[in-house]
Amino acid sequence: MSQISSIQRVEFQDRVRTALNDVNLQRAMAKAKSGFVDKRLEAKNALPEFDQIRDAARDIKDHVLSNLDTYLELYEEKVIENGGHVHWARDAEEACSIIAEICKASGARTVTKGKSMVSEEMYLNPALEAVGMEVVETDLGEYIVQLAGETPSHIIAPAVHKTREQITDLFHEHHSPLGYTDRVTQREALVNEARSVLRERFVSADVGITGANFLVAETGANVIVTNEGNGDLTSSLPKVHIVTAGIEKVIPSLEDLSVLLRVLARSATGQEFSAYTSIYSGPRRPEDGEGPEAYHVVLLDNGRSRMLGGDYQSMLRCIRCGACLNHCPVYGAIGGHAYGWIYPGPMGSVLTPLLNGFDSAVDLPNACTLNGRCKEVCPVRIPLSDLLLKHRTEQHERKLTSATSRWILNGWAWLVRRPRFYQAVMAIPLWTMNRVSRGSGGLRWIPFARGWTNTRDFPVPSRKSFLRQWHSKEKGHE
Amino acid sequence: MSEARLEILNNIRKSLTAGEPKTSQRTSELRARLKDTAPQIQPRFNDDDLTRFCEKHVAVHGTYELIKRVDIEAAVLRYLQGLEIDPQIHLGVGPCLNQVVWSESVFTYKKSADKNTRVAVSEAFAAIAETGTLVMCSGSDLLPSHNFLPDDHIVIADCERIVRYQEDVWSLLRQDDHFPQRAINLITGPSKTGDIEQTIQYGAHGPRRIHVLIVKD
Repeated sequence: MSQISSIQRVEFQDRVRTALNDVNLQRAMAKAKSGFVDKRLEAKNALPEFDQIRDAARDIKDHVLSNLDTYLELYEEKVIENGGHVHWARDAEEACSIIAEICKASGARTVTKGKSMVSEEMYLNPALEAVGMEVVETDLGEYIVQLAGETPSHIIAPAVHKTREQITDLFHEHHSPLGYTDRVTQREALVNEARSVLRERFVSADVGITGANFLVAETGANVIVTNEGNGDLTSSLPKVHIVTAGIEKVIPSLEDLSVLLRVLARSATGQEFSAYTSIYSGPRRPEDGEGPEAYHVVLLDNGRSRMLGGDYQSMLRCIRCGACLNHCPVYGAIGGHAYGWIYPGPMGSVLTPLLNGFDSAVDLPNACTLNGRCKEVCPVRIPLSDLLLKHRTEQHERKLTSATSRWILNGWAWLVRRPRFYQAVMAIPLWTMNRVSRGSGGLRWIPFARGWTNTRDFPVPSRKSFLRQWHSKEKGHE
Repeated sequence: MSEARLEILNNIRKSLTAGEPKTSQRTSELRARLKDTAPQIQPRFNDDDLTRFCEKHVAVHGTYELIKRVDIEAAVLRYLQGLEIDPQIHLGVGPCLNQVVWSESVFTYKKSADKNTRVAVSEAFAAIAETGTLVMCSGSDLLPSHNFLPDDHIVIADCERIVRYQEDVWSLLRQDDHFPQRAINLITGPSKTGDIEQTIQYGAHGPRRIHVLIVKD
């Protein structure tokens, strides 16, 4: 086990180093910079009730999670009433085979997809390609990432790591064979070219696969929230619509939906409301002039049921808005791919070890400065930084960290529990540092801390510790 | 398949209640909660519904015009002339729209939109003042493709159908015989994307422009 974690550690550190030295990534991230952060703050400030609505959103999710089995059954009952089918998948593999079967049974050749992080979690695209399907991502960001042969680097802005020049190259390479031989470089022209190419895909697809921001138990509907409208074309035009969702996505009623929608877009992009919020219930009805003939929902567990009732249950409240990524200084520096799996940033660092195993991502909970901004901005008040600390404690207890660091931490813990001895021991470096600095107030070099002293002097602490100063002052007052 | 279902539900119960069997009482309590349609916390605002709708709709790059019921055709034609678009429209249905007698110079199509459709004229089921949102509903002769494929979407909204909050729409939907309607599309401004350099571009996949004709007699 420790061998696995040491391999993972090298990989993580390598990925971080690569990310920090990747000129294009750093340019793209610098450009994205504080856009989402500023817009969220503006939206929050424009809504005096924002914090109260966040509390309500948290309470709704908590209520559902405490009754998840029943809500899933109630939801399923309604989907069936609407003429749809519900499939249950214990893990990613099972989900992929269910979806592949539906595609094959309907004689499908081409599949369009709306943005779905849960389908990324399933590794759905390669699984469908393996059974002969042509899969096309239709969210512009996902499409760019698919052309590049990559995975999303942000849960709501999948191509945030790509510069316009890189997108120009990708489009030129992939669209030239389709007759788009002009090399377009401007944003508007790039969007128009993708619009035109993807239109052909939308109207000719046999199956459309979307995710779900929410599943509504009251009506058996799935809700998707987008700005582009690609999710709606994917849901409406093909003859089969498949919805993929984690089991935690169910909510009770439309009134609950309103509460959650009021925090979702504001937290994600700083919009009051996204351009398209669509609520779909089942296949086309006799009176309908259009719409899919079949409607399937695939509910994925993949480790979620294990998280219920435990220390990490609150992570299942997550509505995938991406605010914690946008506010994370580590994410801002290294981008999403360095995290190694599809969920990056603070929410990913909490979730990845829970879904993939504690030993699979030992570095993630440690790639955090514990500044707490993620916890502060979370629309459903997930205590993300506390959960990351919890992970660290657990790693220590499970002996997933290095022997040296455990030895040092155990020694430190032993020391701080003995105040007198602690003070005596700490007096030694204080005395030494003051002695060596000869009153200059700074040290140019100290052992084990060259990372600090290479670029700046280490300030020398006061000769007397705070406690000693306190005690001598107390004595003076007597 | 049912094996997976059983296992997942059992795992959930095991995690939540240490294996305690579910009771029919809890199920009926939760069923009752689903029927509770009282709105939870809503944002307060002072403007009247029409003013707020117009303000929010413009804020998301929409345009609008206040017109009389008898002027729908003239307003549609004026809009199309402004953009130099031929008067060929994919036409929806609705209480206001059904009363319009289109002149011979206007070609109307009552069929699904396709990839080349330029203009659709629809009538909104309702509109939401809070966010400047149009509510489109599927049903007989109501075709969702009209909402997503044309370059220009002209939407008729009866001023009487502008409600204050989202929750008011849910009430209206529940009163309808077809509840839950198959497709309910809440549309707030034209289609857009920020996926290239996090800079907004309009007309990603759906309409590039949305023009609302608010009917107020």
